[in-house]
Amino acid sequence: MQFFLIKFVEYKIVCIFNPKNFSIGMESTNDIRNDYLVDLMMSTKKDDLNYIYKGEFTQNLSQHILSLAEKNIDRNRISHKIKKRVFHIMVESIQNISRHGDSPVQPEEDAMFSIQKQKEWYYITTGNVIEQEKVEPLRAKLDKINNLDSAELDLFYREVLSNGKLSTKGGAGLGLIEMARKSGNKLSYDLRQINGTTSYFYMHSNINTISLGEAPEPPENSVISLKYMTKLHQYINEHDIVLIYSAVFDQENLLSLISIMKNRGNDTLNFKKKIISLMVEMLQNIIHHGGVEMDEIKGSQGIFYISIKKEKYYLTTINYIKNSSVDILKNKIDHINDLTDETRENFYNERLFDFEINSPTGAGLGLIEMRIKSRNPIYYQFYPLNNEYSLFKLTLCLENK
Amino acid sequence: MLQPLILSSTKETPSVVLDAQNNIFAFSDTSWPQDAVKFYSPIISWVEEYFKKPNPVTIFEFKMNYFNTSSAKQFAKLLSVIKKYSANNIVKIVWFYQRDDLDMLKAGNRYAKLLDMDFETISTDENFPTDAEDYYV
Repeated sequence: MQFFLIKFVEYKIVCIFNPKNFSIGMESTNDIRNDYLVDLMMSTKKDDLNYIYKGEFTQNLSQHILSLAEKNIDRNRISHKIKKRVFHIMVESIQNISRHGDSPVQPEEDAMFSIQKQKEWYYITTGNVIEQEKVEPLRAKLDKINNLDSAELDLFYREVLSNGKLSTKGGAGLGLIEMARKSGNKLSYDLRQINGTTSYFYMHSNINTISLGEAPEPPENSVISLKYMTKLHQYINEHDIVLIYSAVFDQENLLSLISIMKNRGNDTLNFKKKIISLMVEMLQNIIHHGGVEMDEIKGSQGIFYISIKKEKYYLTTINYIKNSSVDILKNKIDHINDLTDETRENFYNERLFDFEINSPTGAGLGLIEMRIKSRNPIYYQFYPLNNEYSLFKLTLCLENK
Repeated sequence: MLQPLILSSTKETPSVVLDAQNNIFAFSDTSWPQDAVKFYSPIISWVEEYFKKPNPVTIFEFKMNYFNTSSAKQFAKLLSVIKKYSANNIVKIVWFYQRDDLDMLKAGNRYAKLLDMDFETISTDENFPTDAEDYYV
C-alpha cells in the first residue's frame, strides 16, 4: 500500500523536532515516516496535480475549485475540446454532490471532490452520503450505463431526456449518462455502508487528454486508483483533513487556494485572513526556495494540506530541499522558536529594516511572521531522500480564539 | 512636473496613486507579488524623484487590506525614504486599518514606532478594498 515509504526505511531520520518546542496540539501531527500524504506528494511528477477537497460545496466555492483545476488544464496546453470535456465532467460531478448528496450528519459524511492528473490522464473522484434506500436503484442505473456501448448510451440519453420523469432535484440521472458519454469510459464506483440508514457513494471517472480511448486500469496501489482514493478518504477523515493540494506551486494556483479558503467555513473574516496570510508565507517560501530537479520532478513541487481539529487549524507543507540547506534552515527555525515573544518582535523589526539583504523575498521575515501570527512553535522535520535532496515538513498550528 | 504614477490594483498587487499635481499619495488593497522588489523599486524611485521638488505638505495614505512579509519589507524601505525627506519637509503618514483588523493595526504601530516620524493610525468602518472582488484576500 505505502509503496513509496518502503524506500524510506533505509534512511535514518536526522531530525524529528526539538522536544522543547513541542507544544500543545502538535502531538497530533504525524511523523513524516507515517505521513500517508508523502506517498501522494512523491508520486506527483512535473505538471501533475492532486487536489482533494472535503466539506461544503456552495456555488461560490465550486467556482473556485473549478478555477484551480482550470489552471492545471491550461498549464498542460490541452486542446480546447478536451478541456471542455474535463470541465463538463467536473461540473456534473460537483452538481451531483450538491444536488443528490443527502445532508451530512457526521463530519465523515461530508462530501468530497478530487481531481488528479497523471501523465495524460485526468481522474475525477467524488464522494457523498446517500440514503440506504437509494443504493440499489443507483447501483442498477450505474450498471446499466456501464453495460451500454457509446451508440446505446446516446440512445439511452435521448430516451431519458424525452421520457424520463424529472426528479424534483432535476436531472433524472442524465448527469450520470453524460459523464459516461463525455469521459468515454466506464464509471467506476464504490458504495460503502456507513450505518443502517446511510451509505457513502464514491464515483470515479477518467478522461484521456490525447484521445477518447478506453482507460487502462491504473495499477491497484496507484494514487490515482479508486481503491487508493477510498483509503485516502478514510485517512483524511481520521486526520480531520479538509484540503490537500499537491503540485507545482506558483502564484496562480496560490490565488485559487486563497479563494477556496476564503469561501469555506464560517470563521470570521479576520481569522480567515490570518490563515491566508500564513498560507501565502508558507507557499511563497516553496515557490522561492523549493525548486527541485530530480527524475521527472521539476519546479517548486510540494504538498499543502489543512486539518481542523476542534478549534485548532493545522497548516502543513512538505517539499523537497537541498541537503546543503538543511542545517541553515533548521538553525533558523530553532532560533525563531527559542526566542521570547519580545526578543522575537525585535528580531522581526531588525530584519524588516535590514536593507543589506535585498532578496526578492522577505529575507527570513516569513518564518518569523509564521511564528508570531500562529502563536505556536513552528513544527518541522527533515528527512533525507538521497545524496542531494531531503524532504522538509513544516506545520503551523493556530487556534481560532 | 513629475508625471503621476498610477497603478490599478490586481489580485496580488495594490492600487497605487502617486500624483504630485493633485497632491494624492495613496496605497490600497492587497500586496503579495511574487517579486516585491521588482514591483516596489519604480515606486521608491518615483518618491525619491518627487522629493527633489515636493509640494508644501505631503500626506501618504495607506489603506491596506493585506500584505505579505516581502511587501512589508518594501514598505519599510519606502517609508525609510519618506522619513529621510521628512527632516526638511512637511510629510505625514496616515495608516488606515479596518476596525477589527488588529494585525493591520499592529503593522502600522510597528512602522510608527521604528520610524519615529509624523505617523497616524486611524481605525475605520469602511470596507476596503471598496471594489472588493471575491478574489481579494
